[in-house]
Amino acid sequence: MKRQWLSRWSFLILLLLFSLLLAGCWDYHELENLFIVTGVGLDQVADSDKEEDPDKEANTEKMDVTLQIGKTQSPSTGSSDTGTQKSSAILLKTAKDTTMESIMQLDQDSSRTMLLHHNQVMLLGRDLAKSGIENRIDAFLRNQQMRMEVLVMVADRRAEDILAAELEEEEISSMYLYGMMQDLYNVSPHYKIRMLDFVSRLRDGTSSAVAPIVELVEQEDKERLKLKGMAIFKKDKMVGSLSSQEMQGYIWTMGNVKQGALAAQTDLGRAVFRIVKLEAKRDIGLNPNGSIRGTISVYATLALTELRGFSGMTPLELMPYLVTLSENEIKRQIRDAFKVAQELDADIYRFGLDFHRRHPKVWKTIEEQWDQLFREMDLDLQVKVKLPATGQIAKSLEMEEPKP
Amino acid sequence: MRIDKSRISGLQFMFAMTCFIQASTLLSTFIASVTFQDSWLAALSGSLVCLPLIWLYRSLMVMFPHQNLLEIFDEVYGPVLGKVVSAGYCWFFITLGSINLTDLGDFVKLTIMEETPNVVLLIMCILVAAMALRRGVSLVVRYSDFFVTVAFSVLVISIILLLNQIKLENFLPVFDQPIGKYIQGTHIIAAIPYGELVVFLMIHPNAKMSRRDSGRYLLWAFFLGGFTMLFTVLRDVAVLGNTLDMFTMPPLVTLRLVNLGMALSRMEILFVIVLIILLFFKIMVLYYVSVMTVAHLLKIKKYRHLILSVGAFMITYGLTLYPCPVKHAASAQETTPFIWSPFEILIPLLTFIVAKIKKLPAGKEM
Repeated sequence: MKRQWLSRWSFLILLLLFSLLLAGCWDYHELENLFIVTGVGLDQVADSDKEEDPDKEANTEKMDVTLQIGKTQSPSTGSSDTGTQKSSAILLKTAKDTTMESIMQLDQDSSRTMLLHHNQVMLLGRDLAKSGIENRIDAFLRNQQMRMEVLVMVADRRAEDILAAELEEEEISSMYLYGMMQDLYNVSPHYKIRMLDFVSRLRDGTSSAVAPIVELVEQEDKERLKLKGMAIFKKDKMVGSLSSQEMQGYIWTMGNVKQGALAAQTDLGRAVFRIVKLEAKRDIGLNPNGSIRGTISVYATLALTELRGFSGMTPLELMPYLVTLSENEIKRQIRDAFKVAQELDADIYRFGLDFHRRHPKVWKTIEEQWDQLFREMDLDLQVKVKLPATGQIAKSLEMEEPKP
Repeated sequence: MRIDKSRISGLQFMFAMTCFIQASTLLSTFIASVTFQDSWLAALSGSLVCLPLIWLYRSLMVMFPHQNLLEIFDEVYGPVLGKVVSAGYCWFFITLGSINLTDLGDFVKLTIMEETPNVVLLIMCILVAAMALRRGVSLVVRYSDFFVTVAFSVLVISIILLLNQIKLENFLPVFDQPIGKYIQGTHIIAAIPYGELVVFLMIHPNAKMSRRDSGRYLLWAFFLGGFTMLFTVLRDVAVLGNTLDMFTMPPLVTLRLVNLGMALSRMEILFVIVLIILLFFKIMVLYYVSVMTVAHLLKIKKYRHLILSVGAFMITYGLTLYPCPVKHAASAQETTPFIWSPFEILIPLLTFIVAKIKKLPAGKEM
């Protein structure tokens, strides 16, 4: 009888003790004590800072780390100051040798703890990208709070400027960048470079990584962010870039394009097409003389969206003409991009990886000389365009012959 | 003289084994840095190599339907030598349990609770397991079917959600590694998840099943577990490509990549929960088997008194086993498969042969 009483009481006490554990003693993070990092920018240490620092030698390893923090305030709380347009992002900046040291420093100097789970973008300043980034991004892979989905982008000048940009469209610039890349992802998945894609290319050995470049433009006192092309990395150093046009050529070479536009100009007039679908098949092999032969066959379905000129042509003549016109335009852009890549010895198309996958035995013998082989590679380019529709009208006003 | 008299059904026995194999899906890490994009081949060949092993365990179960592994040893090798072998197994079971316990601790620490001291996590796990153990094997395996279903659903859902990121080219080139690497990968897979099924030789007398059923259940468990393992590795290779071997936990990274618009992302918590459940189950089984072994060795009928002390021992042992996860991974790749092999393959095989020569179970049945 007594035993039972005892066990019932001990059970109750045990239950009460468990309730203490439920609250948790470690690993609790209150929202009001957190700084939610939405973007991280890495820059070469600015020149002006360098002079102030007496310890000049040690400076080379340092970099400027900028954290963009989205404010956690809910819109309802600050009802009184809705009129004053306050930025809803905070920027914190420091210069340290590594990313994590910087974050720890900022953590110490601020009232809240950094939360990196929701980081959207890693921006690399152009100068830093040029000096090599392999020793800079380890924290983004190692740290448990960092995600492999984070976007990798290169800032046209300094990353901190991009993060500091005050945009009309979106209050937090890194959210804007995320939206922009998500939008482009619907055009072609190859626009969106996640940390995983970036690192995967760095690990290929022969492939060159690419990353979109964002540029801060000021238009009538307003700041805007624009996509300026793609940075090309050789190993881990940025060596050049593709312009917007060339970037399109690169995207088309990679295939799997679901949207987009294409404009072509001739003496007769100008035609604008919408890309309905664009697929690229590629085949890579070894010529008997030891050089590499790459074949790219592009199959595109386009739709006509605008015409100017072409007066005096009947629709029957015009359609085959437009098909050849668009084929040549696609070819031209693809070749332009390819030329840039070849000049930089940068295999941004992952032809080397393709070759490795298709011919693993031969690969071992040519891996060493891949850069040279890529530079001398012949590109056999075939483009087939289908133009099934002319839109709502068959002829244009200019084409119309005067009625008798 | 059975210490634990509770019974389980054949189906529960099967699900328990499936669960046990599934708990090792985390181990796809260990082969990733050995066989890279061909890891799935190693997973497949490792599973196939294990078929004879499964047959061996089945034969022992059929030959001695009413005796567990230690009682088989006593009978086959006699009381003295049998006890020596049993003591070896006692070390094996407890070590295995402790390793899995530290795995769980490291895993939870790495994924969701960074700041929580390891020992707290381990004590919680052992306490819950101890509660189950008090009621015997029937409670230990009761929820195995549920666990298996959850693990399967998460696997299937994750594959569907990752379809847009699966790149089949990532499997190329096939057979690019030197042949030795494939053998190493196969050995790891064979020894670590499948060979550990030997612990079920300690439980089979409690399962109500006929001779024919035992083989069928073992094969099904093997098939279901192997299927999970293979598809986990396939998924990870297809999604992660050449970065697979970079991560300490590829399945976690893979699930973190799930991203369908803004709505469906941050799925990894599902994987974390499933893995905690599965690892907990594995630890519970190993813990149960360790307690049974100790009770058998010390000839204690009331094993309940042993539960907490064995648990405490496993925690302290586990905390001192490896100084860091890197050493753990290295030993899992290089040494563990060799140390485990005698317990998982050689001794059961030897026992089988000696029992056949001595025509042992025949005398028993009369």
